[in-house]
Amino acid sequence: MPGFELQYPLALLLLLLAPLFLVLRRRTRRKLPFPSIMPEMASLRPGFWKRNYNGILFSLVYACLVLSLVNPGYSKETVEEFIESKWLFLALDLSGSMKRPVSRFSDQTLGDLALDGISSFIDMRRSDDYIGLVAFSSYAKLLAPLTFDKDLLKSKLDLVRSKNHSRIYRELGAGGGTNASEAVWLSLSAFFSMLPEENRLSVEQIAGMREFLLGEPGALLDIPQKIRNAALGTGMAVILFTDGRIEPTQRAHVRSGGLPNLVNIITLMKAVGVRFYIISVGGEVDEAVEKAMQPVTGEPAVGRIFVTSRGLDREQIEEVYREIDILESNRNLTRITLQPRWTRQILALLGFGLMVLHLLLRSLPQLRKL
Amino acid sequence: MKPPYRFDILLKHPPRNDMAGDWAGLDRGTGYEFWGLRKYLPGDSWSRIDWKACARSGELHVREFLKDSAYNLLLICDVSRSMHFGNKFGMTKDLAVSLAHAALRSNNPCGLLLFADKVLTWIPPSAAPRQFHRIVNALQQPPAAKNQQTRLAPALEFVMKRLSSCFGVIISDFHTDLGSLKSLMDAADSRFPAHEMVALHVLEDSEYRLTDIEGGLLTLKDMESGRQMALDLSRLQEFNTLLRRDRERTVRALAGVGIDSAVLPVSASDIQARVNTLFARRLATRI
Repeated sequence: MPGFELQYPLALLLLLLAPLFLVLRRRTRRKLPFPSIMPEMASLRPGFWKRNYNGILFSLVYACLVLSLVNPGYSKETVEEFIESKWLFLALDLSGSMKRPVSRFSDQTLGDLALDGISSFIDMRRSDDYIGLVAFSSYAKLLAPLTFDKDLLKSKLDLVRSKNHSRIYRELGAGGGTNASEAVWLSLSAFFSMLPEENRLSVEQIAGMREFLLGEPGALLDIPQKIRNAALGTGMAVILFTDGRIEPTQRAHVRSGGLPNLVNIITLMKAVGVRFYIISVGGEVDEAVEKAMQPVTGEPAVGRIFVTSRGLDREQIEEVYREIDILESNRNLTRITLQPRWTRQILALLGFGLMVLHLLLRSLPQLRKL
Repeated sequence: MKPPYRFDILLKHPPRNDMAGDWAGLDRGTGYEFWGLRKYLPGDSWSRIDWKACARSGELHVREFLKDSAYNLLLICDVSRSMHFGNKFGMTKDLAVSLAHAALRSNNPCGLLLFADKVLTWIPPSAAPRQFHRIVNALQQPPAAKNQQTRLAPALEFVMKRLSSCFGVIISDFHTDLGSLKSLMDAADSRFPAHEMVALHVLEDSEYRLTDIEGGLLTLKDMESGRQMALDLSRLQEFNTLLRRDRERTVRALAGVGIDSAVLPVSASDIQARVNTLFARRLATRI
């Protein structure tokens, strides 16, 4: 039996008292004094069952009651097979530089091209995948939390298309910076807040983690035990699209130190297993970030950097997203659940039933004790 | 204590006593001493018809004799544990007191012997005025037997040694080995035994016959040996058959050593008639 266990095994010692009780019962059994018992009376002795049913049923009732105290349990194994649901966050750079037209003859901006790529990527993914959107420039903004609803995602993408001139688009376009680290951190925070309740981090805990990410790379990260237990990173990925320079921290904020360090964030992602893909238009990636992205010997790579030329076209972007789609393909998973089943109630009921049976048998004329 | 029964003690054999026959008892009966003649009544034995008197008078006359007297009545009572089952000992007391009264009333010596595995109390036969009270007192407070068994042989052996002749009445349930009496009672084979014995087999109702039980399981404990046995009373008929066979076996064993017996269930309403019939039946076999 899989996962057989006893809740209170010491109670089994009570079974050792059973012979004592049987002897006491035999000793204290009501006996009618009779002047003489003839040897011939042996032919009138009751059969085995009639003679011993009392002791047998008493022993069974006692055993059931003791076992119900011991409370044996076993685990019922349930095997479920399902296709993995990926949690993906798409971070899109919408800084001023993304507003430049793709070519002299086109009214489509680089941002629109990236949005088309993201849209095609959303279509590629399975309907079970959770996808979220973050747009960023000098600061990051959550466009859509993790959701299955592809229509919602596309409508959110439409919000930040250049032709729509939405408020969000205007606000983000005003910022000239490329605050990739803030966008990635926002994506991770969204992951943390979507975890099951027992592993979910509070706002304070997430803020505490952010404090650790502000320092210089190499600082020891304090990852909460809840996150470690959650096997968080499995099936999660952040895809960053930008045409700016990818640096650990924006130069403007080096002194104030108010932004998370991207290298620290990559280290955190490595630690918890979240995959990280960077699509860099122009290929301006800082050495520290490149180094952080490189796999350590014996460990899987945290992700990959896709570098494209500045003369980007729709085909190239879709090719990159197709590649990411292959890298983040959904796996067939098997979930084995062990549900503990305790038998106390069954044993107690059985003991009670046997007790009732005993009383019924004793009241039968053929089996009653005189 | 007033005797509950009135017994007519009749001996089968003439008592082997120097005084036998010389002692004029109060009652007429089947003795050896001629008492007188009376007219024939239907039912009288033809062997008692006095033909000479018939010839003289022209009517049928029968001879009457003095009842045998001057016998030593010895009451041999079992006081073992099994006799304290139900009201068996109460009945034993009633029988013993009534027999003692019957004997002492006709000036015959009466003694008492209480036994279990050995002789516990011995009151030699005597016709003294206080003898009846002595017997009653001894029966009221019987000694407790240390050993739980019943053994009749030592008691009878004791009687044979102490008394040259007697008429013994054994009152017991006879849950004992009667085979050992065979060598002891060889004298019974003789025509005129010195020790004439009669057995009153006292039984509680449940020892005699179980009734009104439809079934069930019963654990019995032997009062003497302590042996236990569970019985299935759904086979009640077989149980009663075993009891009957045991009674018959006891009667046969006693008859085998020359002891006539009568079975007396405690609840029987005709105890007096049964005992008197036993005495009369024994006498009839002699005539």
